[in-house]
Amino acid sequence: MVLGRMISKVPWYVSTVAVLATAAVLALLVNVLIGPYFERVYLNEADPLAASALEKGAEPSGGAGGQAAPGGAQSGEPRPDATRTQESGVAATTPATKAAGNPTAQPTATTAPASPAAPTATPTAAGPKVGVLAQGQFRDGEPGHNGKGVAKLLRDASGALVLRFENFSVTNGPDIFVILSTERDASNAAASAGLDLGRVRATDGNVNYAVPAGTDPSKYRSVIIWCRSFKVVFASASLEATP
Amino acid sequence: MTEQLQLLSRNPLERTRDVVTSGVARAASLTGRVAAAAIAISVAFDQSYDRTQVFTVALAVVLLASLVPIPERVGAWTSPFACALVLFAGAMLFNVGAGWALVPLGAAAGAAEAVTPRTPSRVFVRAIAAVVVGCGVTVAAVAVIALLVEG
Repeated sequence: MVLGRMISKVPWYVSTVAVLATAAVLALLVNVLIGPYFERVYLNEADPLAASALEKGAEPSGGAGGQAAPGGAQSGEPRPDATRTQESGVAATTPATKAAGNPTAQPTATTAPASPAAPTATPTAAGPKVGVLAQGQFRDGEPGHNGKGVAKLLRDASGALVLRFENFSVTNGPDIFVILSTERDASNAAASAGLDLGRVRATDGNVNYAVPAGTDPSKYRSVIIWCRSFKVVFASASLEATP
Repeated sequence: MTEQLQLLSRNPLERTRDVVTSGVARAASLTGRVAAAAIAISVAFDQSYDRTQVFTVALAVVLLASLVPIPERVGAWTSPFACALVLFAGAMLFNVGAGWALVPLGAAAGAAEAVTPRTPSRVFVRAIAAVVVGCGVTVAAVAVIALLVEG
């Protein structure tokens, strides 16, 4: 009542501007801070290991590679969600596409579909082993923030390290990043001290993140999907070394 | 000259009320809310994300409930609130399918509510209350959905 009497004494042009400005500011805040939770970005990138196998299979002398080729061809059928790459239809505003300018988060392959049967790690005569070095299952982060799928730290035939998410899905957010952590348990401290691989490029699907050259993969024990602005862990996966 | 100055010093809402009849204003508000409910349902069908579906269906239910005739004393507060809800839901779903269309609908329905002849002295109290409560309910609904619905 008191508020009502106070407002009724204010000139109409002040009240009108106050109402419109309040509505506009609140709407903008809602859009920026909460809107991303409802935006989904689907991406289905090729498994770098499967792509390598396919390349080998194409060579005339390919023995094991020749066997891998038919498998690769079978997995070449597009997944149902591959046709729906951006549900929100807002490429320019999603965290995923903002990462396009981030040199640390470039896709390693985008043309072929994913293969569920990627080769396991195989030591080479002269260099580090090629294949899946470590992997783990995503689990939920803090309350209200969910994640699922598999994280794989792998080395492709060219020697490049790649962090690959398969059948991945995570709650979206306004400022979420992919972090490689040396800690086994996900936490804000672990995330802020970890290796930043760039913004989350897709909330769903199969996605590759390039790991900077020279990184020692054996140091890293977990993957954290982390909101930098609000210091919130959205999801995490403990990495277990593959034999 | 004096008449012109008096006219300018009057609240534009009051001046609009002289032009727009009560029936037209109420019809505009109702149409805006019905259209917003339809868009919310279409977004629910268009999107596969569980949280989006739950939010848009809940929004549609609230908007349709706001169309039920109730005593004017209560309706004078609930109708502007429903319009504010449309505006903030639109701001939140701006990048999701046709969610952006809720913003102009909420603004138009809210303007129609503001010029609907009611107690003129309390129009701004109702407007501010609607904006604040509409925003608060939208944020609270998202928090509840985030905790109850996996996504």
